[in-house]
Amino acid sequence: MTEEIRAESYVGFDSITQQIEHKLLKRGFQFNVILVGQTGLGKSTLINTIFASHLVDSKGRFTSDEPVRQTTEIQAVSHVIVENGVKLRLNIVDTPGYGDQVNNENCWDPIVKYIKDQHSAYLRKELTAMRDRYIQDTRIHCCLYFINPTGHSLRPIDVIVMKKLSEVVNVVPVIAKSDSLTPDERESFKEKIREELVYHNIRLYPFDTDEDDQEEVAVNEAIRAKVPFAIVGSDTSVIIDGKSVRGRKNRWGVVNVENKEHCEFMDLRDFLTRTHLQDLIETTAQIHYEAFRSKQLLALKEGVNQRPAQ
Amino acid sequence: MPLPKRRGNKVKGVQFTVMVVGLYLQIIVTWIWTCMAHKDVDTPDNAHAEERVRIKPVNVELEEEGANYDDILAEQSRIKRNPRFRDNRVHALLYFYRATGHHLREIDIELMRRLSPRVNVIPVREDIDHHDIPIYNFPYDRNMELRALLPFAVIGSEEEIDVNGEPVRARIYPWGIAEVDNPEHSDFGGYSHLPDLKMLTEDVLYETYRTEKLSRSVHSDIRSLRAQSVRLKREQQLRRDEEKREINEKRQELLAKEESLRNLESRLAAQGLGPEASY
Repeated sequence: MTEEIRAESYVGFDSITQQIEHKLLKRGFQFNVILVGQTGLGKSTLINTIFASHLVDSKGRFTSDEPVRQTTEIQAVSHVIVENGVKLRLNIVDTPGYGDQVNNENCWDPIVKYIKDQHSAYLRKELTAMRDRYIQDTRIHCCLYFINPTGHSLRPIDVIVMKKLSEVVNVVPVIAKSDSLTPDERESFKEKIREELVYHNIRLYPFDTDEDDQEEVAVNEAIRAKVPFAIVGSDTSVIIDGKSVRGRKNRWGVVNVENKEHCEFMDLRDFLTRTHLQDLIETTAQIHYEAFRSKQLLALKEGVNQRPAQ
Repeated sequence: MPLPKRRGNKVKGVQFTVMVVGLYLQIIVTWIWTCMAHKDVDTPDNAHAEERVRIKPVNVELEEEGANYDDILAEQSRIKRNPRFRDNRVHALLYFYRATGHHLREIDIELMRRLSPRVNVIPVREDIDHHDIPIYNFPYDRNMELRALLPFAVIGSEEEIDVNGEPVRARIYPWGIAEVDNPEHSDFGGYSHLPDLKMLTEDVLYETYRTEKLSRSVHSDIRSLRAQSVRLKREQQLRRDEEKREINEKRQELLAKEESLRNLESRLAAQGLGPEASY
């Protein structure tokens, strides 16, 4: 353990944080998120609500003669949002048609493959002899998993998919359209879900690592107590008490998306953008990507070792 | 909404079976209880009829081409039991589906499509704030008013009671209270005032049952007649074939006999006529 010394007079290297910030501001940040859940659970609406912008179009069928979507065409939509001089490059990946078919066997395969493909692409670029200074990062930093608000428990398919996904990406489950549940129903639903997640050993973000100090551990605990976030999304505004807020009007009232007593949207939004954005990006690189990378390189080495035998 | 009065109610004591299909059993069961809670004391001939509702939740995994999809079925809701008639067929199926905001899912469409040839399917949409997108053609044609309401948007609650001077059945949200009996909140709200939901449902079910019963008997008559005529024809054909065969056989026999006689004759002729012929 090296002893810390204090310089006799002010040097000024503490400005390195601003230097870094300046560099980063120029470069901008990249954040990639994938939305997984059945059609109609409000995935597109939620991401639009989180970033307060129209980023993604809803992909449902609007006329009866449109055919039911048969394949999950996984596509990324890119946007650049600027806030106070900070440039955020967003990739939003939607998985339309997931879980809608009668036969949903292996519907998670294309999703897992897509996520791994991004790791693979990054690895290839990293291993290139003449590689770019800044490798374009398409790796998925966060997976929002949308749960049907049945009020009972997770469906078997939810359990399977969340388990598979949690092995390759940071999974954040949310209860979609939670305004169909009363507060009591919501609480007991969350309890049941949490029990099932523990029972099936599903490792959700955030993870505790050895490096975390007490404060960080406490923050993670608080997050884990809230997961899954019961959310409501809206791309329309309503007037409540003279203020214009994002909300939904139904037959017996108006749901204010921004009201913490109505739903946990604000908690999710803050979690994703104000407190854990950097951590999501970092853990993707340091945990998920590293795991993928070591497996691949080991496999490569094995392949090389076996070649002399041919 | 004026409803046709039940015609000459001679149906006390017929068993109706309603099957309820849906993912959100709690809501469904609550709704059924909500509806059945009110006894029909208006019509005198029903006053003594016993009402029994029995709901047996059953977890069924539908194996459709190797896939698993959990459906929760509530079986056998018996309205008005009659010990004489034991008709266990399902007369109506209330299919509760979750509103996605877009459309029916493939599974919903597929399920309804497969169920409809066997039973009358009534699609019911859960807890939404607006009606639209009824794409399914309900095969029951009699009641136009009902049809216009399809798919029904319903709320059910038996527990939440809010005293606002008087108890109200409702679901309590932080942003408002959804009242079960308020027609502005639920399509079956306020049924105690105007369309008596029980009457309504029973009318629907009764009509369904009657239609089915009649069409079944007609169909079975026609079918049996057709079967009979087919049988007759076949029997006729068989008989004719049989006769032909017999005739043929006989002919063969005769021919054979002729042949042998001729042989005998020629042999005799060759040996010389008469028994005295000797060398």
